[in-house]
Amino acid sequence: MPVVSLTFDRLKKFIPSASLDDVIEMLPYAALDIEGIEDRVIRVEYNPNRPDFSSDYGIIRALRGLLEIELGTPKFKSAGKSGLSVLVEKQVGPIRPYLLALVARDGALDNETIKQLVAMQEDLHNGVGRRRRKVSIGLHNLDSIRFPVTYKAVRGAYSFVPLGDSTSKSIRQILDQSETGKEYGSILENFDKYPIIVDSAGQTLSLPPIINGQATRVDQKTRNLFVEVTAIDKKAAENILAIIAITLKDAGFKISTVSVRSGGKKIETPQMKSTDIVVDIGYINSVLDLKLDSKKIIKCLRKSRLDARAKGDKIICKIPPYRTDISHPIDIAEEVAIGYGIYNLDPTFPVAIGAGQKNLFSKYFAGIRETLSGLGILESLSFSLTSSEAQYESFGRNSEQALSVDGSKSAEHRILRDSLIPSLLQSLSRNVHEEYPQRLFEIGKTFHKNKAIIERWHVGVVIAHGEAGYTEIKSSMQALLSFCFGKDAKTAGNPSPFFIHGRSANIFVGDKVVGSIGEILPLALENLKLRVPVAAFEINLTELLGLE
Amino acid sequence: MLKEVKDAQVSLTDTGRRMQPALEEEQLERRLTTEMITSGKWREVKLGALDVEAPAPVAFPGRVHPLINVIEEIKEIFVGLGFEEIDGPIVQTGFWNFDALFIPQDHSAREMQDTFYVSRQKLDIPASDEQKRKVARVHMGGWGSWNVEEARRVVLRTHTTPVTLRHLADSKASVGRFFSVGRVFRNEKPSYKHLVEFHQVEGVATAPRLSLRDLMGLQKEFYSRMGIKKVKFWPTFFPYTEPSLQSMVYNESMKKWVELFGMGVFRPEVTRPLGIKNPVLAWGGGIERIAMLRFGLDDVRELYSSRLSWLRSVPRCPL
Repeated sequence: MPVVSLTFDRLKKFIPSASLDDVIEMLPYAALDIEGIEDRVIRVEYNPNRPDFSSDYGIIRALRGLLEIELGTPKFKSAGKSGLSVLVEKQVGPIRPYLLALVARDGALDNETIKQLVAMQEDLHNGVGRRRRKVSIGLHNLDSIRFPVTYKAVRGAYSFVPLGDSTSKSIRQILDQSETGKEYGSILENFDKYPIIVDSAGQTLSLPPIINGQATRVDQKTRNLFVEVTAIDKKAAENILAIIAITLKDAGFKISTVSVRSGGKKIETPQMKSTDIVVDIGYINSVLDLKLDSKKIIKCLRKSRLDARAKGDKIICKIPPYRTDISHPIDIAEEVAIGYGIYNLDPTFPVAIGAGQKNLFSKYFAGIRETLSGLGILESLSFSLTSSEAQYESFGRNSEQALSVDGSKSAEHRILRDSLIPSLLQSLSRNVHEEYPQRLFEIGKTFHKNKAIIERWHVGVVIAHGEAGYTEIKSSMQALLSFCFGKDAKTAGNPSPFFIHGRSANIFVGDKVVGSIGEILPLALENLKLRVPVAAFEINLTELLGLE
Repeated sequence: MLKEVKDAQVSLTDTGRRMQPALEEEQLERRLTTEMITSGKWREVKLGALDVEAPAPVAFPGRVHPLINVIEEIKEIFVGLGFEEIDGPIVQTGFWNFDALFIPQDHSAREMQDTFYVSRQKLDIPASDEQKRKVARVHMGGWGSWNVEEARRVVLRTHTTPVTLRHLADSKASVGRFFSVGRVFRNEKPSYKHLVEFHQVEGVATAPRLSLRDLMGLQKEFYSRMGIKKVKFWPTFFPYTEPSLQSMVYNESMKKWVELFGMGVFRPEVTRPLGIKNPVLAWGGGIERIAMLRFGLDDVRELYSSRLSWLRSVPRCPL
C-alpha cells in the first residue's frame, strides 16, 4: 500500500490545536495504518480507494474533521478563469485523447511542499493512473510558458530537451535510452506518432506520459503552476485533476481554470462538480444497527468532511469530486460509521439459526490422519506449486503435460504438482541428518490437465529407513484402507515413473484403480541425496471417496 | 608428547556392601519370561532390581501436522458458531476470483505481479448467462469497461472468497452461515514473512437485518474461543466490502497489538448481480499467522519445511 510521510512540524503547523498523541490515536480510525514513527516523521499507509490521501494535505483534511476542528466539505473557491487556453488536436485521439489542466498562482514551494507534491504525483501515477497508462500528470512553471498551448501528435524524430537534461534528444532516443522511456515507453509502442504538449513559442512542455521538458521545470522559486493531466479515461482524469486542485488550494495556491478546446468544443477545467447521493436514514441505521436521527447523521458526515442535509426520512449528501471512493449509499453508511467513531460501536452477537457442521472431506481426512498417525507416520505439509525439477526431472519424467504458472518470482514455485510423492521425497531429503526410520504422509490437492483443469485430493505416504521396502509399505496401505474405510485393497503389478520396475503396482479397491505403490527408483534417491531405501504409496481420494 | 593419566579409585558404598552377599548367595533373573509365567516358575525365581532412573530411548509418535491442528481448532469454532463448511476449487476463473467481487479488470491486484495465472489456459466461466450478464453490467456501470477474455483467465485463487461467494450465489440461501478453509496463492518472493501459498479461512453469514455490529460481535466471539480476549476494530478498505474493518488483537507474549482478520459487508455491486438479497457479513484471513503466534515461530516457512526436529518437538496440547 502507498505511504505518506507526516512530519511532526507540519502536523503542528496545520493542526495546531491537537496534540501529537491525539493525532496518532486517531489515524487508524481514519483507515490509516501507522507503518512507523521515527525522526519526527509518522509514516502512514493509506488505502488505494482514497487517492485524495496521497499527500499529507489530504490526511490533515480528514484529521481536522475527526478531531472536530473543522467540519463539512472544505471550502473550494476557484479564482475564476485564467483566460489561458489549450488546444487539443485531433491526431492525439487514438493515442491519448484527453487533456485537462489548471492554473495555480501565488503559492510557495518550500522543500517539504515539493516533496509532498512529488510523492502525490508518483502515487497517483501508480494507482488511479495505472502506472501512467490511464492517466499521467505534468507540473510546469506557469511563468515560463507562452500561451496558447497545443496538445498534438508528432513523429519520433521530433526532439526537445527532456527534464534533467541539457541537450536536445529525439523522442526515439528518449524512449530507447532514458530510464523513464524504458519504463513507460511500452504505453506508446503501438503508435507511429507520439503525443506532445508545446507552447506558442515552440517550447516542449511534455511528452506524456513519459517525461516533461526542461524548459518549464518547477523549482523552489516557482510561484505559479500550470498543471496538465493527460489520459485515456476522461473520468479518471477529472478525478485526478480535482485531487490536485484541492491539494494545491490547501498548499496555499489560488486555483483558476484553463479553457480546453477539443473537436470544436470548449470546456473550462477543473470543473469541480459535486454530485448528490440520496440515502434513507433507515438504511444507514440498519447497516450500522444504530438509531441515529438526521441531525446526528449529518454531524457524523461532517466529521467525515462531507456536507449533507436532511429531507424527510432521507439524507442528501454532497460528494466533492476528489472523493472518488463514494459512489453508492453504502459508502455514505461507512462515512457515517467513521464519523461516529468505530470505537463507539458496540459489538452484538447474532444468535445462530441452525447447527453448523464440517463437510465430508474434513470428516474423512480426520479418519485418515488418525489412522496414519496411529501407524507412527508423521504428517508433512508442502506446497502444491513446485518446480519442474522436483516434480519431473528428478525422476526422469516427461514434463510436457505439466501445468505451469506465468511470471513466478521464485524458481521453486512454477509448476502445479500432479502427485504428492515428489513433495514427500523432498521432505525426506531435508531430513537426512535426522534419526531413521522416517515415515511421512501428506494429504493435498493435485492438478491434472484435461479439457479443463482437474483437481483431486490425494494422500501419499513414504517410509524411509535401512530396511524399508514393498512389504512394509503394502501393510501400511492395507491398514489405512481397511481400518479407515473398511475396504480390502489388492495390488497388481504396473510400471510407474516413480518406482523400481517389478516393485511397482496399482492399488485396486474392487475393480477401481485408486492409487499406486512401490519402491522409489534409486535414480531419484540419488538425485535427492537420500541414502536409504524409500517405499511409497499414493491414493486418489477423490476417486476412492467418490466425492467431487 | 604429553599424555594425561587419570588415577581413580572405586569402592563399594554401604548399600552396595549390603547387597553384595545377596548377589552372591542367590541366582537373580534379569527378565520375566513367558515361560516363567505360564509354568508358574515365577514363584521360585527372584527378579533383580533395575536402575529405574536410567534414561530410556526417545520415541517419536506419528502425529497430525501442527498447522492442521490449528485449522481443525478453527473449524470446530466455526461449527460451534453454527457455520457449515464448504469447499471449492483452487483453480478459478478471473470471473469468480475478481469480476464477481467488483474488482476492476485493470486493478493492480489482477496483474501477474501479484497473481498466478496458469499458462496458456482459458476456461469457460462456470456461471449462468444471467450471472455473467449482470456482473458485466455492473462493471460497465462502475468502471466503464469489461472484457470476457479477462474474466476467462485461469487464476490460482488469491483468496477463498470465490468459493463462499459462488456458494451464496448458487445456493440462493437467504439465511445461512458458511465457512471455507483452503489454500490461496500470491505471487510473492518467499521470505520469513511471506509464502506464495498459504491457508485462509473465511466465514460468511447472511440473514435479514445483519449489521456491522453483528459482524464485530461474531468476530469477537470467534477470537474469544481462540483464547484472544482483547480485540479492537479499525476501518479499512477492501474492494468488495463496505463498510470494511480490520481487527487488531492484543498478543500477551509479544505485548503488542497484531493485525489479524479483515472483514466487511459485501457491497451491493457484489450481491445484487448474483441475486443475493440479504446483507452478507464476511471475514477471514491467513491461518499461518495465527500458527506462528501459537508456536512462537519467527519464520513462516518453518510450517512447510517438514523439518522432523521441529515436527517432533511441538507439543500437541501444551500445558
